[in-house]
Amino acid sequence: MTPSLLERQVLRTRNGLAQLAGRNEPVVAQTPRDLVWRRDKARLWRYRSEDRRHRTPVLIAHSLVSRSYILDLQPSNSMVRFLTGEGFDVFLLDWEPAGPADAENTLETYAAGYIPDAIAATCAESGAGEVTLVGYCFGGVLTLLALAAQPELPVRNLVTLTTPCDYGQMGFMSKMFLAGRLEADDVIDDTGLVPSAVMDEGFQSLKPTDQIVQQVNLWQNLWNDRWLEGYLAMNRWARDQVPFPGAAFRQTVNVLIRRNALASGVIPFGRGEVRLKDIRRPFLNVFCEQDTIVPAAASEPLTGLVGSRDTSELRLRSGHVGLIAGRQAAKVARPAIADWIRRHSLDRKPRTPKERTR
Amino acid sequence: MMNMPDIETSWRLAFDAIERPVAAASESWLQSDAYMDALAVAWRLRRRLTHRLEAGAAAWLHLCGLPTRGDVTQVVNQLASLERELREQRS
Repeated sequence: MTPSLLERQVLRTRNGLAQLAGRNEPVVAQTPRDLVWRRDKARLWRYRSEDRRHRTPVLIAHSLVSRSYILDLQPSNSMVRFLTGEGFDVFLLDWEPAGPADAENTLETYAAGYIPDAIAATCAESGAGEVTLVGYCFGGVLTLLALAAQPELPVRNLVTLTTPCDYGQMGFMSKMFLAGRLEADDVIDDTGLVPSAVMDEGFQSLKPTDQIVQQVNLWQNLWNDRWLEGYLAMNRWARDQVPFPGAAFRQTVNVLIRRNALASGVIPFGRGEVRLKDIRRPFLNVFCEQDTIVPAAASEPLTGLVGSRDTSELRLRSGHVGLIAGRQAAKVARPAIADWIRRHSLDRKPRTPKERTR
Repeated sequence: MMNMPDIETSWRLAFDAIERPVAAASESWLQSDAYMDALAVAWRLRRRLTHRLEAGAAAWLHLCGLPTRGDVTQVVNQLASLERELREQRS
């Protein structure tokens, strides 16, 4: 039952004071996990399912632009916890925040280096011959490049979650670099990184009134402990940006934004190029109608660009983060994604390496 | 007479009635060429000014024999380069 106005004011005062005293720090990423592999700043975490029903594990490759705890925000709001509950062993490939030593990391460093190695480590650790590879946001770009560059990788299914493809549809952040208004080097600092503050400014400018709305929401619901816990966790994540490696950022600007290479299906990669048509695994493209960071129009073309015969689309009425955390995620997104993966993980005879390249 | 919970609902409705059109207008202004051009110019200007200020401050600090931010960055970059070499040897 909703408390009376007076009770709410008392609760607001209590929670507001706790907030000011810094005693309301949200606890995130609570699902038990083991670090099973690491190289440089890449880390592979294993979340064991207590009721493993599917042999093929799920490997989630996280984005380079945010922290991975959004996938395990709170026990009641966790993508990885949901998937383990559905009988999948979940592996999460994430990245410690990039430092100056990572400034020269290119897209190839991730797509031809860390991701294939993490897939091999996942197979070795889980005892499975293949993985279901899931890429979130920019992590989706990296998984697409990895699989297009090495179609023989032991990947059974590929799932991209709100992954940008047509950078012509990406809006503000892309347009700032599209017409040469800014060069990549204008935002790269002296250590060769795009500072986290720049990333934060970029995201904040997408919705100029959002900060005020957030404060109003906070005041309105400050009395509600449960709401507050979720808000603080989400708010912490939203402002917890990480630096982006400069070399990978130059490629993003020159190749992905200006040449719109992903949308053309042919992407310069290493000394040659890769083609999305070479991706022949069952493919699920998930995107969101209310996404202001990666609009649906920027993700949607992917479905027709990969070479898979078995392609599916999941269009959701949520925002970029609402896809994996929040009410919409719990009700629609997570069950639908898990159901697709489950249907595509049914036991069958493992394919030979020759069959995998077909 | 308006009861207590209604007061909370009313101020929120009033806020939303103002915020929504303002948000829509600001988001559409944000996508305009004029805004993005101005932002790019402001960004470059800020960067140039910061560099000039740092260079000026660095000259004074060096006169006093003190290290500057640029010196620290240089050391950081040298260490980073060393770490990259170690990574290459490890892999």
